[in-house]
Amino acid sequence: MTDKKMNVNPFEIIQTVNEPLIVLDEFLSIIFGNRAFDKTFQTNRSLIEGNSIFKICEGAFDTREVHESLEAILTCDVQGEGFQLEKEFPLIGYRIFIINPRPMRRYTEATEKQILIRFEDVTEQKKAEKTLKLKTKEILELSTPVTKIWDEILVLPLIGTLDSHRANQMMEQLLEVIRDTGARYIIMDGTGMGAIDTAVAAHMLKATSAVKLLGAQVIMTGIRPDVAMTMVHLGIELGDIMTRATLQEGVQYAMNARGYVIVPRQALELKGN
Amino acid sequence: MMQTVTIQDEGDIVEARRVVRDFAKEMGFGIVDQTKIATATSELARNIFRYAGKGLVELQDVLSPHGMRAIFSDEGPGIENVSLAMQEGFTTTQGSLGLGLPGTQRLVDEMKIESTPGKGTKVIIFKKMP
Amino acid sequence: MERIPILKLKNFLIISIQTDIHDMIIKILQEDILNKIIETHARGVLIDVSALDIMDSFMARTLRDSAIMAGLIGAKVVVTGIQPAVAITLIELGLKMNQVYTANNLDHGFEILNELITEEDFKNKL
Repeated sequence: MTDKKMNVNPFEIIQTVNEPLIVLDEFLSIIFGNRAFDKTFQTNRSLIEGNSIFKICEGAFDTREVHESLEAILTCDVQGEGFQLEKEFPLIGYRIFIINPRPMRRYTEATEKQILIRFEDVTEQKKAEKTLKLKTKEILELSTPVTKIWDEILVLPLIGTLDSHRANQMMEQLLEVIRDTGARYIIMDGTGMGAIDTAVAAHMLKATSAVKLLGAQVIMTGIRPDVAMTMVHLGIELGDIMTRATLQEGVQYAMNARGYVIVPRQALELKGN
Repeated sequence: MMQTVTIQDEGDIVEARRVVRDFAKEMGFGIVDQTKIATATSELARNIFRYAGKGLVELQDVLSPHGMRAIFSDEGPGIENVSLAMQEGFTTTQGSLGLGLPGTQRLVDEMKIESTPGKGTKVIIFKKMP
Repeated sequence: MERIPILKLKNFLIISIQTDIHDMIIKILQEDILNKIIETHARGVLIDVSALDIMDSFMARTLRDSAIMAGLIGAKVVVTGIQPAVAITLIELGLKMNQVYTANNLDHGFEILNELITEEDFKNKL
């Protein structure tokens, strides 16, 4: 099979590659599969060579994407695009592969078309990505500590710097809590918050309007003096958001609005006498 | 993954937003993004119905960058001045608020309009998978 | 053509929009609400949209206009149960719903209507 001019059989090279590779003829039957392929899919040369790609490994590759991509290469001779195959494989179980088929230059005596297919196992990588995404989400969720302090009154301490992503996440969660608890007053406390820039202010205004659409009201408290000064210098206006100096006053406002008055016990006892 | 919806009567606007929401859900978008894409679809499908009478919505699952693309095409009168139409408050319909295109643009990550007066309009929107 | 039913309870009207509906039906609803207010002398209207997972600019605008129109013929309107994702989308769209009273659920909406009407009656007595 050795090509005189090259002195190297390309299949020998393919054999040494660590990634699973197979070569197909124009009828999509397997001419050659390397050791890595045998190992990954727990098969062997005698089972695959000469057979159609759709027949091997109990038909694991008999999917629409594989059909379409291989046909595209055969008919238009284009460089195939990589695609993802995610499924339960016989013998090896659930795996995600990136499959990359491409037309092969005609080595050896072959005069007809050949296709080289590369398989990249990304199962672990995808799993890791998923876990990372989940963890990030958990952390973001932790950073929106909405607390119910009284019937229909919630407190949301704003901590650290708010970027767009976090602000959106926060708004989403806050709105869900409002819907689920039927809260009517939301005290946003900015004591632990860094500077407010135009973007953050815009997010807060948006959140306030959305809260209002759900039938609740935002009371902003604890804007530090230096933050207030920067806001004015930057020309940021909070529009008609209700503000109170401290969390305590915010709570008091919300309680009053709900019809509760906080009085020292002494005052009540004096009246009683 | 690909899907199309034909717009030719008012009920198709409802159908389009339902199909788009299901498509976005299937792709794995969160509820807020699903709602944003479906609402953008509703606005653009209504434009097709109002100004062109009929048209087509085509949905695509794009691999890289991963996201959802929707193409709204019609053979209606087209838009004379696209950049004017994209301005806040612009409208040709009386009684409309003119939130149309700029409002819709804020719901998605990318919006492109190709239009030839007399020939038709094509609006392409794209929402990135977060 | 299908119609959205309007229920009367004491001097209030209650409407629940259950499914995604098309433009014509919401337009008809607007007319029906106004006619029903005149017919029943209702003082308040509750429109519950908690089952709606989408509200585009047309629907939101029609609801808002209905509230303003109802105000002109002497009834207050409270829209209840707007879903979080719908609220975020409406804000992003840039639609102002300032003139519309909103409430989390029917109970709150009922309370708000009562407060509004008491307030109005009090003013009228002065």
